[in-house]
Amino acid sequence: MNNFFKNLSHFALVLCLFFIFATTGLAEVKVGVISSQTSSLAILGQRQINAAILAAEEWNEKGGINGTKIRLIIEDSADKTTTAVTALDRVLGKNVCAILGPIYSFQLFAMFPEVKKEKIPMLSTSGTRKLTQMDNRWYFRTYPHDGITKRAYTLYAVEELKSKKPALMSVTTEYGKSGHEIITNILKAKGIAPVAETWHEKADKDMTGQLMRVKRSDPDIIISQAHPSDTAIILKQQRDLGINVPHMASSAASMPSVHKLVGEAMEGVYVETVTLPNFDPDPNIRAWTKKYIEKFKKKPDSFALLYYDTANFLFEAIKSVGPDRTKIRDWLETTRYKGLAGQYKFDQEHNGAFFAIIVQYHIKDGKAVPELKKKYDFTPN
Amino acid sequence: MIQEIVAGFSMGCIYALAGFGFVLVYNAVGAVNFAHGELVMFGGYFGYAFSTHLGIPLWLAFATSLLAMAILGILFNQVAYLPIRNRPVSTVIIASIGMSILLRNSALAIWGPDPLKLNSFLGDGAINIGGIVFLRHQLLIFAVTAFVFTGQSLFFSRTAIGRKLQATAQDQEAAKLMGIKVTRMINLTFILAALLATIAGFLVAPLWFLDPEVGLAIIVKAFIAIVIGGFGSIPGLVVGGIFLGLTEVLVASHLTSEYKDVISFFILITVLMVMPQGFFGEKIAEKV
Repeated sequence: MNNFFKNLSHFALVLCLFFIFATTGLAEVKVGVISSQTSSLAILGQRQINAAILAAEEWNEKGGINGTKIRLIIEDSADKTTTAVTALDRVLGKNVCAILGPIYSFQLFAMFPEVKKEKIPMLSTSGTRKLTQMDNRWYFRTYPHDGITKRAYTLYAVEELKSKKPALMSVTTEYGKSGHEIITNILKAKGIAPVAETWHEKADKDMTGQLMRVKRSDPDIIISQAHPSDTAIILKQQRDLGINVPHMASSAASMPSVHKLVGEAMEGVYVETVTLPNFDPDPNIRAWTKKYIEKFKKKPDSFALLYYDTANFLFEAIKSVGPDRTKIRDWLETTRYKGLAGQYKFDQEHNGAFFAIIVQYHIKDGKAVPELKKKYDFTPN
Repeated sequence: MIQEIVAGFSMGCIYALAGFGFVLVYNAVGAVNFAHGELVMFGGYFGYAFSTHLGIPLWLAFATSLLAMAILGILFNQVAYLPIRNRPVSTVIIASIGMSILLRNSALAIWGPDPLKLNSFLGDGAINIGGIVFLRHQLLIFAVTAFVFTGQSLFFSRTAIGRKLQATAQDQEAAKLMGIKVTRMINLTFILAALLATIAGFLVAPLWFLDPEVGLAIIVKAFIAIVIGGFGSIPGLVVGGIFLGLTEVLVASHLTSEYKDVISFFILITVLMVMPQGFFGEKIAEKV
């Protein structure tokens, strides 16, 4: 009788272990997603999470990766480095095989030591140049870095718009400082010095001081780089203050939510961006945009489209080599991928996208409509 | 220079209007309500929701928002102040911080993270007078600030209800002995603060836009204006707000935009070192 109970308890233990193993280990491919779900940074973060969800659902509808369903472990990085690092700890605690990271460089910098220590592949669509100069072989960038986008819009201002007296307006975040350095270096190489250089905090709500400084310098163009809310304030106040020079804005000005804030002042504004998911004539991108809007009731932006490509690129890697962190990294380093937005191929620094476009917005029937002005492709040979 | 003064003056008026409800609650019940910025934010969000989603005219959206915010003011008092009003000050402050987080995350859940714009009563246009640009909305801000701060002076000195509120603010026990219903007066104070927050919200939102973090940005600036003006002083709040607004814009335009906040705060600290009680604060006599 004792033996019977002993055998029964062994059987029960094995059964329990089997179920635990089956439900947590083998049945799913677990991928972490860390992005801003709350705080003001959620304006970009939520769209990226949506894009990852869309990609994972599409794979799961087709049976998952080699017959195994994808499970996204989504954590909020909010607007702080501490929240981002906590989110990373939580995701790592769920034993994920790779992570789709946040867009904000200050959070990525804070996460890098642990990413390297844990040897986990992390992909994100951040533009800050220095991210891929930190000797981190586990981080992959799937968005053109500032060296590409800032080069494109500075060259367009100088070569196409013939600017000789640009004024620079930059935000004081890492993104703004990194971009400012790149722009001034390109201008210097062209023998041009900015006539004014102003700075603002991301949370600033009035730019009159900065814009009046710019106005006094009598520029022939304003080149700005800022985040969504401050971009909207700069563009609107430039118009209000009657500073009638062309404006070359950074990619935040391509976001539909920014157009709603800026209104008529979007007329004539040049913007550097990567894709235009809401206006692209490509039928595949049109279909994707339609699907995204139907599911999330919001228009996607270029960051969301590239995040979708990033998620698919990662799922292809897992499909090819399995959920092994080192093998995923090695596969990503050597493989070219054709996504919806364009071609991705990582260089030595792990920069994967090298394309940018310049558009000019015009107001038609009360809506900001982009006109493609020039495509740039700096893909290394 | 005059253009910057116009902008600084308008920012200062916004800081003063946003801080008024905060000072009102502090003077009446001695509570520091760090969630007042979120009340301003909700005033703007209600206006946006009523005018955009329901499609009603802006003036009607304003009237409806006042009503909704009055209810929110009562709820705020019933949940986050009345039950704990006899507890230590730190408990009341922590409760207000808790309400601030609750309201911020509620706004995020309801309206999402995208910045939203509430239309101005006077539209987006500007008037150019001798090369100086006045936004129509700035003119509205100046007019409303003058009206609100003149009106409050008359309200508290000339009306029975105003005097009752003042009596409650000065000594709740004495007010009770005089037959004033103190709890009702406290409720009324929170309603008034919420109504002022609605006015501030309708003036802030067309310029600053609405997002779940805007309340925090508002209360930080309003708090500085309150401190340098003299804690609890209403004239001080107006002067402190305008001083802060002018300092920020003039420093960014004529000194440095990169270190604008550093220099602005340095100036503010210097003011407080010279006048620790602020511009209009009462000097506290030492008791022997």
